[in-house]
Amino acid sequence: MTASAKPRQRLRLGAALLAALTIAIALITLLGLEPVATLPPELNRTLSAFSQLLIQLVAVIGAIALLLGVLNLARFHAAQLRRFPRGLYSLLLLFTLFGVLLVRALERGGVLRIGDGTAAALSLTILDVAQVAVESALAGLIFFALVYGAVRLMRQRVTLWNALFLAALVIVLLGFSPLGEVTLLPALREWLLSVPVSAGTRGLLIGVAIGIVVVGVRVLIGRDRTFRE
Amino acid sequence: MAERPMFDDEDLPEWLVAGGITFAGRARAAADADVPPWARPQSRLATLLPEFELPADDVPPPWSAAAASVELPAFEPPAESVPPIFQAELPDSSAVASASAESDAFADISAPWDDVLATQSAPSDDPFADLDWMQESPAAAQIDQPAAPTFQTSWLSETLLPQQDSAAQATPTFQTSWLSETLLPEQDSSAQAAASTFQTDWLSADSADDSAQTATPTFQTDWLTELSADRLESPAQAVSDAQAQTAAPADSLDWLRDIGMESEPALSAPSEIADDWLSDFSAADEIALPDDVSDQHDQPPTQAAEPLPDWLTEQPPLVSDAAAQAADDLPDWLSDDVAESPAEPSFEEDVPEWLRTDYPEPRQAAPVTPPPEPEPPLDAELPAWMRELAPEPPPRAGLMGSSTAPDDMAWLDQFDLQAPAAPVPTDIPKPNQAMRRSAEADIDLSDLDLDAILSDAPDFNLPEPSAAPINLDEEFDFAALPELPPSPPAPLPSVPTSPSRETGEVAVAAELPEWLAELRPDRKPTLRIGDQEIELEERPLADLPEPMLALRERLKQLPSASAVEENKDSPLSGIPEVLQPIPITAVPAPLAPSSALATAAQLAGVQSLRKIVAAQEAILKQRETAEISAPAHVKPRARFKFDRLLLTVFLVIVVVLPFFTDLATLVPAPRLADLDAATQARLSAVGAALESIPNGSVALVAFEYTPTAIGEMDDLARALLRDLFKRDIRPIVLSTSPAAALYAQHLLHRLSRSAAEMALLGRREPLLPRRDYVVLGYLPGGVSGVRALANALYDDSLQQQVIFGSDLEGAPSDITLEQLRALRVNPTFVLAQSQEDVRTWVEQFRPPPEASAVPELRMVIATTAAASVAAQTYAAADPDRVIGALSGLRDALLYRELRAQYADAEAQRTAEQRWQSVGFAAFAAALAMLIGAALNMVQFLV
Repeated sequence: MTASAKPRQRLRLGAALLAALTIAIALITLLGLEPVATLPPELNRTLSAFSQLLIQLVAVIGAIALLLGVLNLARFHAAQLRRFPRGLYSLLLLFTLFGVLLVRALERGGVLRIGDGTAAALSLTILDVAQVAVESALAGLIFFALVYGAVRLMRQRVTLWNALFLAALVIVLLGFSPLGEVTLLPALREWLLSVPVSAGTRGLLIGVAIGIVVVGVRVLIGRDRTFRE
Repeated sequence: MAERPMFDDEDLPEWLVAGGITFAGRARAAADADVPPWARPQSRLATLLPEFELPADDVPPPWSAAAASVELPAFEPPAESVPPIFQAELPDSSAVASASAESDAFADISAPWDDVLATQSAPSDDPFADLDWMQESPAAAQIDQPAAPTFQTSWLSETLLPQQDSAAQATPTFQTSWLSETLLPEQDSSAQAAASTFQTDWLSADSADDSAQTATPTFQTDWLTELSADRLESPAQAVSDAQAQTAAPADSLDWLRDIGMESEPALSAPSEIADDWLSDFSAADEIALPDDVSDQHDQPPTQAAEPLPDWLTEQPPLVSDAAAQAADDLPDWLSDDVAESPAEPSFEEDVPEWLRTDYPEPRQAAPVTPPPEPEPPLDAELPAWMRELAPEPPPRAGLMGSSTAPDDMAWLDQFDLQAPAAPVPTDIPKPNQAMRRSAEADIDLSDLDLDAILSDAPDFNLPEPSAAPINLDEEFDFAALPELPPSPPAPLPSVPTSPSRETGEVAVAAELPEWLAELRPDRKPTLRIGDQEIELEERPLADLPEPMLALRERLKQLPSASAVEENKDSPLSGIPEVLQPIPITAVPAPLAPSSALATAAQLAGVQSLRKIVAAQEAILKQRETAEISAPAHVKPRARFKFDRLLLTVFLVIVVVLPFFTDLATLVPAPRLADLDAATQARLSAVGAALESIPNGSVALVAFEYTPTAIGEMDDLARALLRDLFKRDIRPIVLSTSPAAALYAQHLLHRLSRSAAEMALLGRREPLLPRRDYVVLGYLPGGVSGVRALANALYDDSLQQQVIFGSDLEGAPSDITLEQLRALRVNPTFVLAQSQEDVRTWVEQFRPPPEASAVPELRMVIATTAAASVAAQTYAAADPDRVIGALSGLRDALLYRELRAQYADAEAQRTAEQRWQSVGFAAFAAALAMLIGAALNMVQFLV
């Protein structure tokens, strides 16, 4: 048997069906979202309705996926309970999860009420105390970490890009500071944001759009990676 | 249409026609021959030149005037000063010229001017030959010159050299050549007395000397002629004799032949300076010239008085003896002087330096030796076919590398380039030469005894040959080969089978040795399977790898299976060549694992792998047992970082300070009046969009930021919500993030429970969910969810039910269809944290295709500073659809100022304090960065 230059992949039935189904659905959705004028209006309306149905199904599937993700997280941490003391954090998480679910269920059932009903729900209080506070604190710490990192930027090595980054950062901050009112820093800051930064952002958006188009075309022609795995 | 000739003179340039070169030939030139150039029709270029003026007719041409002023000496053809190499014709020019083919080539050049003009022949090689003004020769016209010899060009000469023509002695003719630098004087045949003179630029320096000799033609040639001026007589005589003796054909102008190798007839006219410049060196021999020649050479030219350089004076006379010269074809210095050993030193000294080679050691002229015999073969027992392949002895190489040099180059063989031309100076020792000379003198290949030399070589302790030498001439005795290990006996067939082709082959194969039996080039091994016969490509035994060979050998040693008697009762009885069943017996495998064909390295690797696996298992067991009993791992204490602590404290102080002091003068709050027109327009557009919503209507608000961005987005969200509530607009809140949806509910609850906010809104009772606002909750699907939302706004009952049916609590939202229609028209407020959220809403929140008649869904975007650039990009691209974008605390303060959302001064002061804190924090951060960068840079560079 002669050795071929490229190893042939055995065609799997599941991958073939998946590819066929994906291509068909993608094509129908595309025609529904962007109908072709040459097609009959009735066909376009049918395709549009079918595409909308598919999109609704995707939204429902997304919700189910979120629920599955929560369940998987609970299962994983439940499995970690066997390893003590490493499982302590998993125990805390599970306790919190089921505790909030329980509180919420009781609130919905009208069993758990605080005050005369005008007060905030316990779940919202827990949200405010726990999640909002913690996330806000983390966001505030980011400021100190970023400043400290910028201060130590030149300690490792002095390069042109480091200097340029630091200069842009200082210009933006000083332009935003009160001292910028007496100098040209605000104007420089506005120019910096409107010209270079805007240009880079536009390029980034264009690149993302092109990438999305490429991925969509790959799906339509059946050359996506998911069909081969 | 008149036919125009192909070659028309009108197509030629003016300057060419003026020169007389036309297609019509000399017709036109002849017509203008009598007309001086200045009188001829002028070219167009000439008419354009303002300075151009026709010279007066009575004014002679400048050259004629100059020639008239300068009295040039009469030309006196030198007799012996002209080397023969520059003479293309012999003294007997009439005989030589006719025989010389090469002279015919220069016939046109050597033809006198008169002949050319008189005959009016075809244009000569010189395009300017027929010009009248060029024909005038001032020297020839003015000077009464005697008969001058003719000149004939030579390919070596830059100028024309005088040449005596016996037939036309009185007609010195000069002919210009387009190669010549100057015009040579031309003499008419009638003006025999005129001495031809010509001067070139580089010879003009000598014109003063020549002017005194009016009757003597002065001929100034190149340096070679100068050198031979002193040797007029002897060189001429010597060379003339040499030429008379040589018999080379006269059709060649090889300079070497001119030296005297050619068999040219003797110079009948000694005036023909056909002498070799080298003949100057034969001062002892003087050949008497004919009288007529001697007379003409009575007056040597002035240049002859110049002494010769030393290197030439050192040269021996070329012709030592007339007899010897007559006997030998070559002059002495060209001949091989090997036989004349006494003359070698003098010869070596006489060879000019430029002719000597750079060989440091002179080599003795190798005598003609017979070709060396081929070396006898070292092994006398070599077969004939090897002897035939022996290399042939190299042919004897001559001096020039070839023993069969052509005859015309034979003279070069007589050169002894190895011999030094001059004595070696004593101050420069050359030991190598002597050593080499002695070595070369001692070593003679023909006298070498190779056997003696080889016998003198040191003996190496070579091992005794293990095998006897093989004589390839004799027949190979296969019987002498060492016996191979005995092969296992072939299994005897239990059933006597009839002799067949296959069995016969097997019998034949059994008789022959195995290695020979396997060599069956006549046929391929066949594989018989039932009635199928397949020929296989047999691989030679040498191609098998070593393990296979070893296995094969071991298989041969296997005991053969015992013969099984045929069972006559079996259904296969009577069938020839049937495979007998193998009795099923428990036979130990011949190849035990211990005797597996594995090398020592492989076995060692297997042992190593086993050890590794065992060690791993032991480690795992130890870990399992140690984890339980091992103490808790103590983390190493982190090093205290003072700089981080200092920076943190500094930033905290700066951030907190505005809340405890009044820094309004230092950090003023932003004002609408201080903004530029673009920013004001942007803010006004947001206000206008909100104003476009009718009171009591609904507006879709998308909360896309999490609690991490509440520092930037809360102010904007509050400002927008306040504006909506203020105008009794019911916000319908939803989000693609569960956390954001929950935070939106929390924010609205807090907003509704704030007395100040209610006072600002002018409400007495708090805001209630599902009455004053609706929080729909989480919109799943991300991008698809936003697309589904847009579809749900239009005739999509299912999606409307799913999205707008219930709120976050699960209770019915009470959203009517009219409100859904209003949501299509009213702008949607998007509070985005990231760039991705902005892109999702801007690109997906669009009406479905069938709703093309409905205007686009408008949206007001409020983002963080990170997503502000993307939002502004989309807003700039589609300003009618994307309104805004508001960003950060500054735009929130400006919008509040624009919409007058400050309840009192205290609220405004609180807001300004936040602004001051942000400003100071930014300034402190920038200052810390600059200081740290400077310190680190210095530390890095140091």
